[in-house]
Amino acid sequence: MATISIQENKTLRTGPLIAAATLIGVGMGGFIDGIVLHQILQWHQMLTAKLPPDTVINKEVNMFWDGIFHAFTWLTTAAGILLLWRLVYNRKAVLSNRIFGGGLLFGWGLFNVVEGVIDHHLLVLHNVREISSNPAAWNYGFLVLSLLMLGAGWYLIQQGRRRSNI
Amino acid sequence: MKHTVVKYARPFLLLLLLNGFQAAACTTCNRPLQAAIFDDSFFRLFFLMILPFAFVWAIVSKLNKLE
Repeated sequence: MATISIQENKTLRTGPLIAAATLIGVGMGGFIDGIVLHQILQWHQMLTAKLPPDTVINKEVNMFWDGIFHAFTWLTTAAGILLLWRLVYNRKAVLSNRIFGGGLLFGWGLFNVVEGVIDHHLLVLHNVREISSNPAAWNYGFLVLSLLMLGAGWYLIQQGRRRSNI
Repeated sequence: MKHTVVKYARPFLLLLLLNGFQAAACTTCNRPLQAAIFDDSFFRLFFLMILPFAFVWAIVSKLNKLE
């Protein structure tokens, strides 16, 4: 009986939990961006650097692309939940609070870094805070904060993996 | 026969849905808004919206393979 559980433990992996938590973190991070920065604070919308929302039509076009952004964020969250359900159902992955929490933080940071580099710096679709005396400072501040989240999340994941003897 | 109808009905319905997307996009039938959204830049912007997610999905597929 003990041998069987050791063999079962050997087949357990951390990858599926990291992937599921990262996807959910990406989704939750995307929703925080969309809900807090786009809608509540209204610091920016999806295309505000290219299409300033100074007319009703421009505002509505920005709202449309915000909707597309939210649709992809929803799909990512749904994929994360599906992965999480699958790994719990199959019982072939390590279940660790540290890996899950780290994955959520890592996903949030990862999304912010990728979105920040692509949308804020390379394509300049929008700035973190459009109406500001120094939008670049807000963009770099956002990126630094996101990198810290990414690093902290990865550190927690590695700590969880070590504790799980992987 | 029934199987063939079902086989072709699904892609047809999908095509119908995609065609109706432009008209259905604005509940108030705001033609200027539709023209502003579905102009020449539509597919380029759609690609740009997917881009960050595509990067993230690629990274997550690598993470999924970790031991």
